[in-house]
Amino acid sequence: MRILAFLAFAALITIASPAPAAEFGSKDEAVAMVKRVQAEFKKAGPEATFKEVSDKAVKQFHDRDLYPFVYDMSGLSVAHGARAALIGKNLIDLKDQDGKYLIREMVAMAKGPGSGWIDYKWPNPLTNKIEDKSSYVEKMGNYFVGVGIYKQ
Amino acid sequence: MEGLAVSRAPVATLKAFWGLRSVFGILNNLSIQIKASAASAVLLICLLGLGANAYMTSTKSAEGLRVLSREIEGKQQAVSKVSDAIVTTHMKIFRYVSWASNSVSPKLLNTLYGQITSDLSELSVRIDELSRRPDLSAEEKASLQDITAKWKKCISRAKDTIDVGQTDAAMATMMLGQTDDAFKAVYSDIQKMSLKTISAANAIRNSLYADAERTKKVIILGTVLGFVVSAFVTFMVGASIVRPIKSITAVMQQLSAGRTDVEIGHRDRRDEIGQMVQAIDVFRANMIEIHSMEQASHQAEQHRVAERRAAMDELAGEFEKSVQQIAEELTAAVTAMHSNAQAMSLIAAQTRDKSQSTAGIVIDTQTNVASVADAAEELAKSTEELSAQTHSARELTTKTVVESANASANVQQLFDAVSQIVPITGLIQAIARQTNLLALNATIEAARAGNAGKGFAVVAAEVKSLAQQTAKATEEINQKITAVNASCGAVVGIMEQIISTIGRLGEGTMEMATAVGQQAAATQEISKNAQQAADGSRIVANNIVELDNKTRENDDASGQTLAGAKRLLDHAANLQTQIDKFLRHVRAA
Repeated sequence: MRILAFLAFAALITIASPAPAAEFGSKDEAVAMVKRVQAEFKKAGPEATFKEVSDKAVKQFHDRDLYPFVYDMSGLSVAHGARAALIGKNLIDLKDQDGKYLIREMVAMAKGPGSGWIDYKWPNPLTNKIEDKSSYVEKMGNYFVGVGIYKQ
Repeated sequence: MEGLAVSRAPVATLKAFWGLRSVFGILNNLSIQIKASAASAVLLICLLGLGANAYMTSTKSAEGLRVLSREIEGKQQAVSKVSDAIVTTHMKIFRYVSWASNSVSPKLLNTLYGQITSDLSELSVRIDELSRRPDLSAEEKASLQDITAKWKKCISRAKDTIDVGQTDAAMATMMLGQTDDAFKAVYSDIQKMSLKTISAANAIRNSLYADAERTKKVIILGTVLGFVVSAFVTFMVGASIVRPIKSITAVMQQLSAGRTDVEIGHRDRRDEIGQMVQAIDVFRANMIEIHSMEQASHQAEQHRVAERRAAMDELAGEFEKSVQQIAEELTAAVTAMHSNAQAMSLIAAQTRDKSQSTAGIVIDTQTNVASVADAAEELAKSTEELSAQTHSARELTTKTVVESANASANVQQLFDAVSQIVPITGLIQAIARQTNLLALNATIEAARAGNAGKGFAVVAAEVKSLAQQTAKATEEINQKITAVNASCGAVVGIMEQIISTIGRLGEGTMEMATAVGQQAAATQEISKNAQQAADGSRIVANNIVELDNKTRENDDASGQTLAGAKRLLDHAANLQTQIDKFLRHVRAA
């Protein structure tokens, strides 16, 4: 609990203060971004939050290779910080190059523990290459939100 | 029966040889019609069986071929087209993502995009058409519903992929996996369906082949079996009909040649041949019987004729005897009747004669009685005259002295007159006796005549009584006459005295007058009685005439009876003649 409380505090600090200028986002930053989405979701409601998430101009949700993605529990993409083409598509059966049903795992994570890390392969928006990715996923109302880091 | 046992032996041997005793037994008891149609029936049954088999097989084959050519192949083609189109479209999506990832010009990408979209729509239509086919099984329908659902997902995935591919090739590459899965799911189901259709078609083909093979075998077997069995049946039936008919024909020829000792055989059969044998047996038995009858016929006939003749003779004799007796009795009776009738006729004739004579006598009697009456009347008149004369004599007594001589003469005359009455009374008495006798006779005849004579009997009795009265009266007259004669004698004597004794004359005359008066009264009585007798005689005569008429009628009746008896006698004689004639005929027969 103390760790959580600390993390929350750290996140608040991160939001409050401008981002340090590292090349790629860290796990903590990813988690912090998830929290920001959660806060925005609570504050502005789903529509506004999804819009902001999908809008690359919104800086709190777009930081280097960090971006959030939101799906409902059926696997329908409702908001995507990097790949707008995916919004409105159901990706429940999506498999990565290893054949992993990553969206199904995320749904399972959200429905089950409510949050957690999932490793998979995904194209890096910066390089447009499929890379190993680790995403933090958290349940958000009837949806789940996730932010991932690319592992070089 | 010995001949039967002998002729059965080869038949039994034949049966044992064939080892088909029971078959022959059954065949021998079936009618020829059934036997004659047996081979045809066998062939017909085989033909029907083969025909039915061929019909069923060809129907089934036609149905199988129809299903194969129209349904399964059509379905198979449709399924193949869908399958091919899925593969093609799938390839195009791969090509599209590949092109998108390798910087192919957007123009070409757009063209391919359009092709893929069009392909997807076309595939949707084809799958829809396939699922609407009327020849789908329930399993296929369920499978196609599943395929349609999967296809919808597949379209969605494909469209998502190419949509994303328009702007994000890397992501489209990411999405190829799920698209691939969706296509594989549909393709695998379609392939399963295709395989099932193919296997169904193969099953039908195999079935058709098996049917064709079986039909071939059945036709061969049926034809061979029909041929063999009908040939066998034909042979058996032929043996069962032809052989016995031949033997029976031979038997019949022998029979017609007059040989009755031939054995017929085939007695245990119950078909037409058996019946024929029975008929021939009867025929033969009749022939034998006729033959023996012909042999025995002559003497038997003679014997029978003689017996019959004797019986007839006896019968005729008995008949004659009885009829003769009856006829004789009849003749006797009729003869007796005839003689009776003759006797009756004779009696009737006698009666007639007698009644005629009686009538004559009665008429005579009547005449006589009438004359008696007349005489009596005359007598009465004379007596009156006498009385008057006596009166005048008495008156003239005084003068009579003178005339006494005359008076004496007158007395003498009186005496003479009275004397003349005597024979008359005698005659009257005779008539009375005769009448009495006739009356008696009439009474007897009346009694003989029965009821018809009853009235006559009364009359006869009255006549008789009258005759008796007449006799009595006449007797009295006679007495009176005697008295008159005596008186006359006395008068003569007295006259002689008168002459002397005129004084006593008056007195004497007075006495005489009294006597004459008495006489007159008596005479009147006689006259009256005579008149009565005449009346009675007339009645008697009338009755006698009536009796005579009756007797005549009786005579006629007896004459008719006699004639009837004569005719009866003639009939009896005729009857006798007819009976004799009849008997002559009977005996001659």
